[in-house]
Amino acid sequence: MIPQGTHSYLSLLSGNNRSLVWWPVLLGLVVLYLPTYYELANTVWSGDDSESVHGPIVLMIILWLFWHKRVEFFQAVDQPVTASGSILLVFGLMLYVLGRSQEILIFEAGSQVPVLIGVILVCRGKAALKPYLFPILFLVFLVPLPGFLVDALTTALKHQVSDVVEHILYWLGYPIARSGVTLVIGPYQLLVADACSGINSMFSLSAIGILYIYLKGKQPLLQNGLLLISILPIAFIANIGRVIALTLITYYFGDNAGQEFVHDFAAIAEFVIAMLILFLVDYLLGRIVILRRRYVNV
Amino acid sequence: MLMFNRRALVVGLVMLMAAGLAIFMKPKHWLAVDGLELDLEMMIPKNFGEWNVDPTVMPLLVSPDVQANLDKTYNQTLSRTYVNNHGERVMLSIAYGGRQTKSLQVHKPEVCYKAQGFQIGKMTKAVLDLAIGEIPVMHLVARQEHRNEPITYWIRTGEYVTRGWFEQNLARLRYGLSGKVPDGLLVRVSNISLDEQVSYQVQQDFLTMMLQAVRKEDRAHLIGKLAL
Repeated sequence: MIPQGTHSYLSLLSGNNRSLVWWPVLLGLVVLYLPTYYELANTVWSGDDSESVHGPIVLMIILWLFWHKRVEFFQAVDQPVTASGSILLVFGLMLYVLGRSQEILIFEAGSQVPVLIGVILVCRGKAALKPYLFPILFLVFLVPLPGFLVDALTTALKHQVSDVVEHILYWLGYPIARSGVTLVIGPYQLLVADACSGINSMFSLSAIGILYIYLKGKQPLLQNGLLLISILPIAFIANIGRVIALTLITYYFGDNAGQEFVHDFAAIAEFVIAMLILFLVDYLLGRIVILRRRYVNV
Repeated sequence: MLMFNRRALVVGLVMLMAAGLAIFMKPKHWLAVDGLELDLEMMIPKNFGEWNVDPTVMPLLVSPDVQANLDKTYNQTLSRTYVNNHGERVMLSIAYGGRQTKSLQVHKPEVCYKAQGFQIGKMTKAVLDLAIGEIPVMHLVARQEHRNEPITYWIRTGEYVTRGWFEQNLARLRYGLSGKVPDGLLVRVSNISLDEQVSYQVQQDFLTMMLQAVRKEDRAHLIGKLAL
C-alpha cells in the first residue's frame, strides 16, 4: 500500500498517479541516453568554445519545457497510435544502435527525436504528444553538427564577414584593405579568426529565437514565419557589427584593447543586441499585421 | 508496490534490447595485432633515386603535452627531410596508428595544421600516377604568416586509401559494421614554396621514387590493397 501522503505527492508530481505504470519506458530511456549525455559532457561540452556553453543551456531549457507541460501531458486522453508509433520507434532505435556502436554522435543524439515521438505515440497517442512535440523537436539543437560541415560553414562565413566589413569601413573612409581573411587597417593587421565567423552565435540565436517564438504563443502564422526567417540575417548582421567594433577599437586604441577583455565582452554584447533586434522586429511585425487587419476590416 | 502494464513493459524491453545490441555491435576485433612487425625507420630507405635524407635538418621537438597526445594516437611515427640533387627539399611524415576508433583516428593534416595556427587554403582531391600504380591523394595548402606549405597526403585505413573526413569515416564504418577496427597510416609530404603546382610535381616525383624503393612486401603498409 502507498501511504496517503506519498500518494498525493506522487500524483502532484506527475499530475496523475496512473503514470507510474510507465516506469519500464523511463528505465529504457535512461539506459539508452545516459551514456550519450555522459559522452556529450566529456567531449562536445567540455571544451572552452561557446558550443560547450550552448549545449547545457539548451538541455536545461528542454528539461524545463518537459516539466512545464507535464500536467497537459499526463491528463491527455489515451489513444495509442501503435502502427506509426512503432515504425518511428524502431527507426529511431536503429539509428541509435548504428550511432552508438559506430561512434556517430549525430545519429546517436539525433535518434532521441524519433525514439521519443515513437514512444509517446505507442504508449499514449497524439493528444499526449502535442504538449511535448516542441521540446522533443528542440532536442535537435543538442545534436552536434559534424566537423566537416562546421568547417565548411565557418570558412564560407569568415570570407563573407571579412568582405562585408572591408566594404563598409572602406565606404566610411577608413584606410582598410583585405587579403583573404586578413584585414589591414592603418598600421594594424587583423586576422578574422574562426570565432569571428559567427557560426556559434547563429546556432545559439536560432535556438533562443525559436524558443521565444514558441513561448510567445498565439500570433498570426505570417508574423511567426517572418520572424523565423529573420533570425539568421539578424545573427549575421550582429556579428558584422561585432567585427566592425573590434576592428575600430583596434584602430583607435591599439592592438591590446581589441584583443583582451573587449573581445569577450563583444561576444556577449553581440548576443544581447541580436536578441533586442529580434524583439524589435517582432514588435514591428506585430504592428504591421495589426494595421493590415484593420485595413482589411475597414 | 510496482505497477506496470503490458505496453510499457514491451516498449521498455525493446529499448533495453537496442541498448544491448549497440554494445554488442561495437567493433572489438582489431584488424592489426598489437606489436605488428612494422618498422617505419627501416621500411623507408634513407636514400633513393636522387633523394637523400638531409642531415642538416634536425627533427623538430614538440612540447610534452602534444607528444603525449601523439603517443596515444600513434604507435609509430617517422619524420624526415629529404633533399635532392637540385637542392629541393621535401618533408616526409608517416604516422601509424593500430586502432582507428573515432578518438584514436589518424589526424588529417587539414585538421592538425589548423590546430597549429595555420590557415588551410584550397583542398583538392587528385589521383597521382606513382609508377607502381594510381594513388588517390589530397592536395592542400597550409599558410602561416609568410610560410606557404603545399601538402600531398593520403591515409590508409585498413586496406583502403582514403582522404578527408568523409572517406576516412566511411572506411571506418565499413569495417565497424562487421565488428572490425582497422589500423591506419598517414603518408604526408610537403615543402615550403609559393608555387603549389611546382611543389605538387616535386612531391609526386618524390613519392614515386619512394614507393619504388620500398620493398614490395612493405608497400601494402603504405597503400593497402592498391599494392596488389
